[in-house]
Parts: sequence; C-alpha cells; structure tokens
Amino acid sequence: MSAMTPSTEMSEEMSEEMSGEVSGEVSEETPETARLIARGVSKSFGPIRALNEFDLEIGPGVTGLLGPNGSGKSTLLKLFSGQLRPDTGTVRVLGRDPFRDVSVFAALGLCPEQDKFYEELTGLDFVTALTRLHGYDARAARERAAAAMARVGMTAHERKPIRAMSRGMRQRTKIAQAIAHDPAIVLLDEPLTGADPVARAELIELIARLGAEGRCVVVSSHVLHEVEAMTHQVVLIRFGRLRAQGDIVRLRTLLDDRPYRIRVTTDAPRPLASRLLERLDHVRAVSVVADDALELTTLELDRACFDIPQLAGELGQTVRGFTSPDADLESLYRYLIEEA
Amino acid sequence: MRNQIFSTGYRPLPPAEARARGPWPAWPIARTALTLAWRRTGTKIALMLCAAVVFAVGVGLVAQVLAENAAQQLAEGQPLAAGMMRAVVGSVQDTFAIFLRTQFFFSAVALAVIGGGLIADDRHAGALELYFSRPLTRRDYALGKLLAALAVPLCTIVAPFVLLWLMTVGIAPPALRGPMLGLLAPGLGGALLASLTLAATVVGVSAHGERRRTVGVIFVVILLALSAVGEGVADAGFELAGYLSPTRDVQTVVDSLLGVGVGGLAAQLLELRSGSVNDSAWLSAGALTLMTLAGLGAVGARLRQEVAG
Repeated sequence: MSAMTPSTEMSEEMSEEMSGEVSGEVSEETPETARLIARGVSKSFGPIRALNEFDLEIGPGVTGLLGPNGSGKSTLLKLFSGQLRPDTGTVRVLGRDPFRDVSVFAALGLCPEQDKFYEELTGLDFVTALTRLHGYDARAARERAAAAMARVGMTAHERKPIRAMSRGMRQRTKIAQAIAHDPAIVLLDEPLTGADPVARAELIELIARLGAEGRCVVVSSHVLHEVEAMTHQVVLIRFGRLRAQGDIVRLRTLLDDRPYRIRVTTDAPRPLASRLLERLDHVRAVSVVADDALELTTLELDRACFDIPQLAGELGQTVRGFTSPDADLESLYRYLIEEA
Repeated sequence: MRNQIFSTGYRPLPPAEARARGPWPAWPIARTALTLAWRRTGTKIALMLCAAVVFAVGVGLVAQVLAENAAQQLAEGQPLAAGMMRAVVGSVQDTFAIFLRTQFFFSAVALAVIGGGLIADDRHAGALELYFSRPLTRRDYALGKLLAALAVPLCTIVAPFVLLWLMTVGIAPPALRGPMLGLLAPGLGGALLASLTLAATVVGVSAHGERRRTVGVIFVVILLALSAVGEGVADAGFELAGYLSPTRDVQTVVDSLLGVGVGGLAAQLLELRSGSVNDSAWLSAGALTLMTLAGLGAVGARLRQEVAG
C-alpha cells in the first residue's frame, strides 16, 4: 500500500528520536509500520451492514477518513478504539488484539464526535480526570492535562466549566484529552466541527504536527478542503466498503476515465488551442471558454504543466493563469463517492 | 543487539507497563463521579437530610444515656420509676437499630439523587467511549462506579454509625459501656450489608437508564414497591413474602445482629419501628445479598452489551 508510507517530511533526527533504536537503516514499508490493521472486517447493526469485508492498514502520519454519512467511518473508528467487536475479521492496534489486551489503549487517544460530557467540570478537570485513567498520579495527570490544553490553545479557558464553553472550545478540549497522555495513535472523529476559522486553522496545524511527530493520526471528516490541508493520505469509504486509499494526487492519476480539466488564461487562446491539439497527443479536447481563456482535458497533468507554457512561449504568449479545478480531493471524492 | 529503525517515524509502544494501567484504575473513575455529584445542589440537600437524621439520633442517644444514668441512680430507691423510665426511652441498641433502618431509607433517597446518573449520564452523553478507549476493563469501570455509589451510604450510614457509637461509649456510664462495646462489630456488619445493597442496586438501575432523574425515581420506586408488597403480603399471612422487602430484611438482620426486640415505648409511639421482622435473619441476609448480586449482574449485562472491549 504505497499510499500509506510514512510522512517524508519527517527529519531523520526525529525518526531516530522516535525510534529509540538507530542503525541508519530505514526499511521500506512493511507490515510493522502499520499501526492500525483491519482484515476482512465486517460489522452489522441488525439488517444494516456498516462495514463489509473491510481491509485496511494505516501507518504513521495523518490519514483522512472520508465518506458520506452512514458509510462506516465512525464504525471503523469504534472498532479501532475497542468500542465495537467485529462480526468477522480481525482488528489489530499496534499489532495487538484490542479485545484481549486493553493495555494497548495506553497508546491510543480518541476524540469522539459528541461533545456533551460532564458539563459541571472545568476543561482542565475533565482532561485531568481522563488522563488519570492512564495510571498517572494526580499531579502528573494535571501537568499533562495543562500541557495538552496549552497545546490546543485553551490555556486561557481551561478553568471554564464545560457547560460555558463554545462548541469550538469543547472540540479543542476533546482533542486535549485525546493527546494528553502522549499516545502513538490518535483517532479524531470530526475534530473541526463547530470551530471558528481561526481555531480551525490552528487545529489543522496541530493535527498536521501530530502526524509529523510520527503519530498515527486518523481524522474522520466531511470537510474535504480541511482534510486536504492536513494530509494527502486518505481512505475513502462508501457503503461500508473501502473505495480507495492512498495519496490524493496518485489516486487522481489512476482515474483514467476522468481526464484532468485545465483552464489556461492567456492573451490569445485560439492559436494556442489549435497548437495544443496539433502538438500534444495527451490532450483530448480543447475549448475556448472566454476571450482570454481556454479549457482542455488531458490524462497527464504533469506533462501538461510542462508542455503548455512551452507551446505558449513558442507562440510568443504568456500564460497568465493555469488551474486544474478537478485535481483536488473534492474532485476525487466526487468521482469516487458521489458519482460512483 | 542490532539497532534498527523499522520505519521512518516509527515509535514503539512505551515498554513501561506500569504506566499502561494504573495500580487501581477504579479509583479515578469513582473520584470523578463523586466530584461531579458534589457540584450539584441536589447532592448537598440530600446529604443534609441524612445529616439531620444523624443529628436527631445523636440527640436521642444522648437523652437515652442520660436517662439510663438517671435510671441507675433511681434503681435502688425507686425501682418502679427506673423501670418505667427504661421502658419509655428504650435501649441504646434499639436506637441504633432504628437508626440503621431509618437511614437506609434516607440513604436510598440520597443515592437516588447522587447515584442515579453514575452510569446513566455516561450512556446519555456517550462518555463510555472515552472510558473504554483507555486501558480499562469493564470490571474497572463497574468497580469505579460501585465505589462512587458505595461512598454515599458509607458517609450516611456506616461512618455516622461509628461516630454515634463512639459518642455513646464516650458519655455512657461504666455499667452501660460494657454492653455498648459489643455493638460495634454487629452494627457495622448490618450497616455494610445495607450500604452494599443500596449501592449495587442503584448502579444496576443506572446502567439501564439514560436520564439521571428517571433512574433516581425508578430506584426509589423499586425499593418502595418491594417494601410495600413484601410487608403487605407478609402481614396478610404469607410470611415468605417478607423477604422481598429490603427494609424488612435490613431490620431483621440488624435486629438479629444487635440483639434487640421491638424497641422502647417512645419508639413504638413514634412508629420508628415497624415491629414486624422476618423469621430468619440468615434468609434476610441472603435476600439482601441476592439484591446486591442482581444489581451487579445488571451492570455487567449492560456493559457487555454496550462495550465490546
């Protein structure tokens, strides 16, 4: 599963620090890298099959879990967090069976979707209470809780009762309780819901940073552009089945029946349009859509990026704009989930 | 040993198993539940009610000890007056038995207010996810909630019993002190059995509800209904039905342990004792134990249904 390779942005120093054992020998992706594994997992609720023969391996870094409502995202998170037992198949968390060995949850942090917990407690008390369940004494738990609250930008509001918190604050407090015990795996179910734009930006940065630290972060979300801002690794689920998994750009290139649309803005689009059709075999169609713009379809985005400015240059033109409106996660989602 | 990086960013699980699970994971759960309960006004009112009962019994005990003192002084010159005085105020043992029975009721009300939401609130808010995505077993969770529930009757029945006993022993004349010393162990036994029964029952009911208040009301209704039906049917002639009544069972066990009878005249006039108990204290203790086990079983069944881990 090439798309699930660990983050390449991580420095070697960090890798060494995280590993604790160093030889300079970095292996290719192996089953050992997968921290969350589901093999042949099915789960039904009465007549409804939420997950159907599901196979998935998720390694370090941030992975976006995407799919429409009822597709099985939350069920999958609940299987990994030990809330549900699969009807068939096996689930492994860090190589262990979570249903036999609950100590594996010491390395897991869960941020569930709902946010109405213990309204009478302050945010700090709430996070402290949950951190204590990991075996920390009262002081250590409080210190960790305070650090986690600071990490999610809640220090100023940490002594506010949860009932007085806005939705965004509750979200951040939930994330704080998920990371306070420094887990290797973080499962986030709709973590950005209710957060204001500034908080969203901060949370996206935080989540991306958690992934860059080497943690396995799984984010279930409906907001595609926000997932795209966190990671390029995605898992697409539809009707309880795995629809696609991997890097957004690589997945997009695999959709042969969906050529890329490219919009080019230039002074004289007509001569460029005829030159494109004449010279570039990967260009399927070209249409002039405005006095200063043309739109073309191609199967090879990379070559188009290189060839079009070159041809424009040959004609003495300048490319003023070059966009591909369907090379992003939203298009991938539309093609694989909505239009499937 | 050959050092090796297994993959970029791989971080192995911390080997410290000591951190993976705390020494006694049930305690933080109980502590959080009690902290939450303490922040509610209803908790404080319910506990004040129980404290009022303790105060009233304390005053009664002081009066009894003083009366007993006076009776002992009268006994030589006016034995009839001394006997009458003893008959009216009753014995200290009676008062302790009355306290345990009465406080069983008030503690049940306090538990309804405090313990109704112990598991129901978690189910309602979906907080079970937060607990069971941590290194906790269902047993840890149930034990934590049971501890929280048990803390209430321990504070309202067991601890006051010990305090009242200490006070009575402290002020009692030497002749009364001797029999008083023997009351502690049996009284504690009865208090603990009553506490455990209440705690397990409220946690069992809470595990099957989702609204704190509804659970509290159902818990009290169950106790009242069982008591009413048990006592009613037993009084009508079918003695075995008396074991259905938790209050009657508590009274039977406590009376047997403390070795008391029907109580003094004052207690009878104030109707502080029902006067009717079951035939066998062992069977009553068994009935209370069965009720406790039913409560624990209800918790286990619900958690097995709700949580896979």
